[in-house]
Amino acid sequence: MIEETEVIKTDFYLKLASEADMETVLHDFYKQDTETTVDEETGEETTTNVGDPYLVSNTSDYAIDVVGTLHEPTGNTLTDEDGMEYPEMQAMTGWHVNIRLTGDAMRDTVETLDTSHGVTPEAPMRVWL
Amino acid sequence: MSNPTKIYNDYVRANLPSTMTFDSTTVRYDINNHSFFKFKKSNWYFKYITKFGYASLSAYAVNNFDPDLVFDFKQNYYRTGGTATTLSSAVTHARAGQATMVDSDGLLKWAPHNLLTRSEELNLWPQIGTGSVVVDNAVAPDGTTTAATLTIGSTNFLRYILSSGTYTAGDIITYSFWARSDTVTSIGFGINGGASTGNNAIYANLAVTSTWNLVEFEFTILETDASLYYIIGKQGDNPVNNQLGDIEIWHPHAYRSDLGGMVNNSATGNSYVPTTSSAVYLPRVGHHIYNGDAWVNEGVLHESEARTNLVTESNVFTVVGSSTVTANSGVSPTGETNAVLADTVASSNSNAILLPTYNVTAGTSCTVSFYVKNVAGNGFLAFFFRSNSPTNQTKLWFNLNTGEKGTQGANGGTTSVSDFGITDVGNGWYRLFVVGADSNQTILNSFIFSALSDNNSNRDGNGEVLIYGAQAEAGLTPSSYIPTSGSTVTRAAETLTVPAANLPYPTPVETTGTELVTNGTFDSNTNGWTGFNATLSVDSNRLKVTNTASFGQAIAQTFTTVSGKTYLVTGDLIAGNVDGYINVNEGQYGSGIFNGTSDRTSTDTSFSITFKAVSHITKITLVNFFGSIGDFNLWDNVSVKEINPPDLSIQMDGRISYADTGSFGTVRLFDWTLDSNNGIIANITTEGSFDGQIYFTQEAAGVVDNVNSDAFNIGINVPFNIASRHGSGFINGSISGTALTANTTPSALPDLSSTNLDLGKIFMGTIAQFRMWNEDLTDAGIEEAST
Repeated sequence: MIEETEVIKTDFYLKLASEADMETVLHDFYKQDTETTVDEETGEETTTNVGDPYLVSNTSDYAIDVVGTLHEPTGNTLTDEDGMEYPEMQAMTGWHVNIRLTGDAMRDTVETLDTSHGVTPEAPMRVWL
Repeated sequence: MSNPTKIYNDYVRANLPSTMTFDSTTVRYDINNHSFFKFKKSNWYFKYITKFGYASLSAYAVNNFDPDLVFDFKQNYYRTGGTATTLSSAVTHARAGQATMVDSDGLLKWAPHNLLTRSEELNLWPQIGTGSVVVDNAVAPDGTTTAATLTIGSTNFLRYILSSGTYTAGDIITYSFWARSDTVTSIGFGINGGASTGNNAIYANLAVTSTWNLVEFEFTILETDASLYYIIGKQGDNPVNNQLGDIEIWHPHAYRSDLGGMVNNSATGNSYVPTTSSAVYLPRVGHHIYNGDAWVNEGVLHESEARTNLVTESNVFTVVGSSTVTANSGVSPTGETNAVLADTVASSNSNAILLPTYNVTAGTSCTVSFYVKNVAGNGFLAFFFRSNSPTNQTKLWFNLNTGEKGTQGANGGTTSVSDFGITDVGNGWYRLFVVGADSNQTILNSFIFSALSDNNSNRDGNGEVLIYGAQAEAGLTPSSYIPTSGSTVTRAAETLTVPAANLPYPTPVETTGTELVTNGTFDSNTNGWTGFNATLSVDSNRLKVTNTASFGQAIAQTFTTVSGKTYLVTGDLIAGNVDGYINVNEGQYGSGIFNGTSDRTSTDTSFSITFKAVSHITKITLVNFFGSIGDFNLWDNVSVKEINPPDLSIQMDGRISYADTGSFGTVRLFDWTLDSNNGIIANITTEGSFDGQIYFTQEAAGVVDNVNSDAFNIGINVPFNIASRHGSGFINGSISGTALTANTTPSALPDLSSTNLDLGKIFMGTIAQFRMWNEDLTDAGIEEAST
């Protein structure tokens, strides 16, 4: 087996504490539209935010898949009134985000995030096609 | 041994008629502004025009204007700047992973891609053992000197490249390259796992001869991994040692070859896709849709939305009652024998076939789809969209004999269905879809069964269907198939960006050439100019405008204009210590025609402003944007000339799938936007009561003008053909050959000369053709263009 090559990751699996952390942790991927107005008498410029910050989830350098809450089987099988069996599921902790890099523009940022929030699932529950 | 095809092609290309040329870059035959992939067709056209005479215009011309930009995704022909070019040069495509499409044979396949990086840079592949490589060293199969020569100096020599991505156990990959050698008769190659060892025993030894042959090795991923090493030479577990000598290698590539295989790269007509630092996933050019009789090339399949198949095993179905499912019982839409035979078996109402369960957010609309083909019985299929009880289910029926959807039952319990449909995909197969939600439950487990008739819940005991490829995705329409095996899978969003340099933004053309500004070069004085809160002086043959107050400094000059005519203002700002810009006003004291405040700048800038006059006198003002007393700017080469107004026209056709989202931008066919104040856009809106109103919009300096029409109805693969014309005095659109009523209120065309255009910005469907002219086609022209 070849071992000496440094593996350059393209797929990153991040686990945030909650959805509320999205904008803070991934702030480099958020964009805030602004509007600048000028006081006609003083010339003073005022820049104000327009709308809410939004996640830019796709560029030529990366793609972001906000997986959100993952669910896993409890091991129990439930049966509904039609006799149909289905696995009982339970929510897993955390808020999950997958990032695929296709260019290097955001590599440093994502690798830093990987250090702070990255996980290495043995069998990822969400993958890229 | 010689290659007879190559000999034939070389001969033909060396002996073309004098009016025909072969473009080795596009690999097409060009004649009379037409381009052909095959010599046979090109020669037919040559004979036709020889007999009937040459035409100076191409087949893309409208109203005697040939478009400078043509993207003909159906004919695989691309033109920018009036010259034929390649797809990759014409438009920038991005998608961060795989996608599926339908090829000309009607099979569901992978879009063209290459998982193997550095495909033409074998010198960048690391090496083990003794040997070397020289790239661009040997004559390749296409006659170019682009093949690499590998010198194998040891029995354990190998070169390898790491490929990161999604490698799931069960995936089938083909690893391939061209090879020839005068000194060795066999080449070993294979893969190693990137992180796991489960894929380390995959290798092959294939014969090599002195003629070029495409060496191919198909293998199955044995263990899921996030990367693989692709190896040329003796792979570690391979017991066969290398033969020593030289071998020539060309175009190594690796691609998914399960489903129906991979569609060929439209640029080369074969499976090779060039790569550099990362895997490449090409646009889905040549996507076919079944029209009930044949598979029709609809151009490029473009899906701007990312979609996730929430089903973790898309081709695994289970049963309830005594119904049965039997895997691998028929040929699926991929051409593989992996369709599942679903036999309702008996009339018991407890019998059914379960679609795979999936998790959703309660209240979120999802589209559930799968492929089905009737085998036996009455040909009616019932689909119960449900969560986990007979109360929470909505019943729907499909007629597989006629390919029509049947009855939609009442929404049941917490479930609701907003749409459902059936699409003929050929060979007796249909793709069914149901758009529904459950306001309370998070696990959905719909089921199907063969029904006795429409709107009948009694089972057809003789009913048998083949089923394949279940998909559940958040969204209101079904998207292209996303196969899954063990996890949910996301197909990334894709973009098509036309670089500004490829767009034919019109260049203003002077009419009389008469200069309307007196003394715009300031060679010796400031005659003709008046200061306001400013002193004017000449500084090295430039006008110096110095503030005498803290705001409102300006100078102005009036000149004669003709109302309704178009004029071009140009002027060079040599920046001093305050922002500068140009205003245009009606008359000496009239209202503004063009307010340049938002264009103000503190750097040297050449301004270019187009405006339509509204009176017989117009004034331009060179403005110092506030500042202090003593602040200044310098100006030179200030000019105003009448011009023929810059106009442009756009045409686009294809098919779209969309639902009623209630938003203004449900579909955005194209988006050519500089900023929040300047752009040209074509939207389809479902806002309010509309279910397909098209809006052609142009905005210049914050002034928005549009024309619109309620043109389309929501649906799957809805055909559209639209065209629009834009100018400083008008905007109009046309839908399927019928022009709207022109809006003549615009006073300016936005300056988009340096702005990229997003094609299919919000778009799920196919684009057949996109054309642009830097001319006004007129209303008759856009009617012809959209026909």
